[in-house]
Amino acid sequence: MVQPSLKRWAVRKEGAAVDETELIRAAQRGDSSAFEELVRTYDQSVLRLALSMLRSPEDARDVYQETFLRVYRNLNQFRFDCSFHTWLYRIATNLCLDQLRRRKVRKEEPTVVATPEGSMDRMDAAPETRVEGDPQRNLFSGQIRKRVKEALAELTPRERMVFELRHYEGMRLRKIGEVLGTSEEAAKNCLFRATQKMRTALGEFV
Amino acid sequence: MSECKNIREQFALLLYGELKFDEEERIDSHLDGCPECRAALGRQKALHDAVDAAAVTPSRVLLNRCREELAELLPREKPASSWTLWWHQIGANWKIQFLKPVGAMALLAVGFFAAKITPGWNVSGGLGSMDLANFGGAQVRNVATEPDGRLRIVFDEKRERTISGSRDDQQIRALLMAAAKEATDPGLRAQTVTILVGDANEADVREALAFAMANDENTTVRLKAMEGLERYTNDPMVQNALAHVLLNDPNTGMRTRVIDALTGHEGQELDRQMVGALQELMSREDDHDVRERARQMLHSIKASAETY
Repeated sequence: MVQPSLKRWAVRKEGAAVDETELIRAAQRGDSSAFEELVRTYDQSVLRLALSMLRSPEDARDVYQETFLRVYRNLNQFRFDCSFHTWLYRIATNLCLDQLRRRKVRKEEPTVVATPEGSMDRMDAAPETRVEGDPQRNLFSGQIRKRVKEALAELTPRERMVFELRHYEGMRLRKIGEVLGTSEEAAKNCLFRATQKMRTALGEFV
Repeated sequence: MSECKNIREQFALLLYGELKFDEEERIDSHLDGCPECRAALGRQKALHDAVDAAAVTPSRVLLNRCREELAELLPREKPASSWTLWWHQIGANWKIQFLKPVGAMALLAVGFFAAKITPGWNVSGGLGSMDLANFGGAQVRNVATEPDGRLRIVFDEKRERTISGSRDDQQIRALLMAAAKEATDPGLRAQTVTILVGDANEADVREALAFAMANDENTTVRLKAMEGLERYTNDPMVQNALAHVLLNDPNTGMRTRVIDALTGHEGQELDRQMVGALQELMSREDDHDVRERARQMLHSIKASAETY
């Protein structure tokens, strides 16, 4: 039997969903610590996805809050028709796509902003610290990151979402289809287009 | 040449493991006789690696800020159930868990009594009330081993304070375990975990190491924690954490090492969850080598390589 203190790693993804079901049921009954546990289980992935998709810490924060507020408001309506992970990601991906569509209409919030020191990606405003520090390797990594960001920015929101979910989240196409409300085949076609574009954009670099 | 073009267009899906068996077979047999396509596949792998290098990791600061804002927003919500009341009741607890730096002053005021009436993050029971809340929301800044083997820990309270003692000192142990989990500097977390490895025979230390192995965002820290747990793979709690790493760790080396740790012990008994994790891994693992090791592991314990 899983000890209570281990739940946080026992339920991270659908692979070990036994405790997760208990957690959700407890949260539905009003157990706040169970809800907190659910948030902690998934919130880093949701934030990473939002940050990666929107390239703006402010927008990522908004998506984070709205995702978990919607989960909170609607948890009693969750009937286990799909996994909690799928349900949560359905909310988060819709919010990200909505944000990208709104941004496209308003032409607001460019990812890369001009500063007196030159252009800067706003995502780099709060970089993660690392133990390692080989300057040459960091420089090369920096160049790659820049090129990949540019290539990702050229994808359509849906292509980008499918690519993000498959490449960085490791989600299978079948599940991506479930999350995005489409078929596995459509998700596959979308991934195919995205990877073709990425290869064209980065082909000379690798 | 058009065959080569068709084959190469499938490389990305091949690397994602999203092709059907027949399609993979067709590509494999083509690659056997086409060095140009093999080279092209190598380039596609390099492209994947390059994209990996651009992975975004939210900073801890941003994550904590999000959690703080959510903790503030949730009580304003009015769900159908009795959530609001519950959430109000644990509001302070949320902050203790996630916002130690922000709540430090408040914690000083509430002090020892608040720590007694609100459960902290430490749920092992082994440490009792000795989490960082007892040090006024302390932030551990440095851990050093002195020549006589005692440990010297520097942490921020309202002002910087230094304590020293042996590894089995309760306060030292509490601070080490808190630092392994909470310190913002990954170098410090790695150092702390390395020290804790020496006490992995203690259940509460194993739990702290397991938490680091399963949750720390830094691979070095996760790896060091795993090194400390490799001798304790018969512990169900450790197996539980290893199962999590197996299914969720983004680093192939970590996933490989889990299997190596499990196979390295004669007479190893795997609990049902670990067997399930290995079987689950077989259906979703993209790395051929990891998949093969998992298959051999399952074979050695006479378990099916598939879930039904």
